Amino acid sequence: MAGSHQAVTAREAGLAACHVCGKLQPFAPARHCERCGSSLYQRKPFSVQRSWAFLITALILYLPANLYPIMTTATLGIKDENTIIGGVILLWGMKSYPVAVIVFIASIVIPLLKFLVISLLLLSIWRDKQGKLGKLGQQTRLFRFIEYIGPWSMIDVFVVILLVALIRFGGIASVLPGPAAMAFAGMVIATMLAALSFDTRLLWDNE
Amino acid sequence: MQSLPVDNLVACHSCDLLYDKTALARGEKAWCSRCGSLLFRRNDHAVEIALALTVASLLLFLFAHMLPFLSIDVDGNKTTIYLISTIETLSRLDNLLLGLAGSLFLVIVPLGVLLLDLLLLSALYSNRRPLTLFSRQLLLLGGRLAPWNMLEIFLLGVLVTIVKLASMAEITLHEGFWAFVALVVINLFVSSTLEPEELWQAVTRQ
Repeated sequence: MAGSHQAVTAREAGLAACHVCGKLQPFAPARHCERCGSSLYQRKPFSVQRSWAFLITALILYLPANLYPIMTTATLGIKDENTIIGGVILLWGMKSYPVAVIVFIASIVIPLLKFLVISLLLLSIWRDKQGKLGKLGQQTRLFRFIEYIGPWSMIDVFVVILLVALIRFGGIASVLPGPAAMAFAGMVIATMLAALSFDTRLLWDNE
Repeated sequence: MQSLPVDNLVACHSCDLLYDKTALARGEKAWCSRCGSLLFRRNDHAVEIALALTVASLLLFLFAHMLPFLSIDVDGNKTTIYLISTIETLSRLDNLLLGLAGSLFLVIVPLGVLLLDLLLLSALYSNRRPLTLFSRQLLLLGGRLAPWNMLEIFLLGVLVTIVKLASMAEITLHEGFWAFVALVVINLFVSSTLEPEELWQAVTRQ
């Protein structure tokens, strides 16, 4: 553990760590990082507003992503449309339980968890001086966890892309992407952007 | 704290608390005592190890795309599939956006990150000046691309796809698939040896 006994933040010391390269340096408004040349900030600019905006975008996209079919399978002229949850049920019916669970967690649970956790943390920044929403250490760890698992939601989009690309059984079967595929990919990208805009330092500024 | 020079300090990226980083020896890691995030890590021979792993990754990327990936057998009609042919199919897809997303996440970003790493690390390894002129830009671009590199997630997607296909046809896995698995594993090692801070220091030292 690097020694630090008096707790001083970089902001209190008049310093800023560059948001792009991490270089710690004296801060002044409208300055550029001395190492990488990016604009220098002490906190990510408009972090809360941007996170909310991306999160709301993701929530809106979540509806078509789940209501519309993610892909259409045509076998010998019989068309079969599948939503995300329909795909999970199909996998469960095929007795591929581990895969069904993986897809369920990646496509349904992780996005919902992300919506919940990011809104909770944004509310905590907004007004939670008493720490009713949990300890700041827990909140920070929760965010790092959410940030890490977020991209795993992409599994279903990759599966659709692969199936479309791989299945060319010479007229026996064909797979077409449904409208939900794009909505779902957009939803995952929006939640990732919400996480990228979020600044955990803002949580600790309330302390 | 403030009597120390700025270069000896490190600020926690999660909660902004300042620490003296000179207390850390090579090969050690430090965590923030307030929020528990990893502060700083010093690896020995990070550039050499990462360069070796990057060269290996590039070769495996090539193998994964050029060698037969898997065979699909429907009632005796056997089709062998190459990963590279998925790109061709994606480009012919009616859904332009999905094709674009696919080629971005599956090919352009992973290959871009590997090539950036190769350029940067080989320049750092051999101390060649002409290449290091662009090393700042390479590092900046690499940092922007990193969150969108989803190779390991793609591997899980491949596995789910195989399970789905197994209900309609018989699947045989080939060399390309195993090269891809090895690529994902090695890629995880690269990202754990490469500390951006060390790279920035190495780039600005020259």
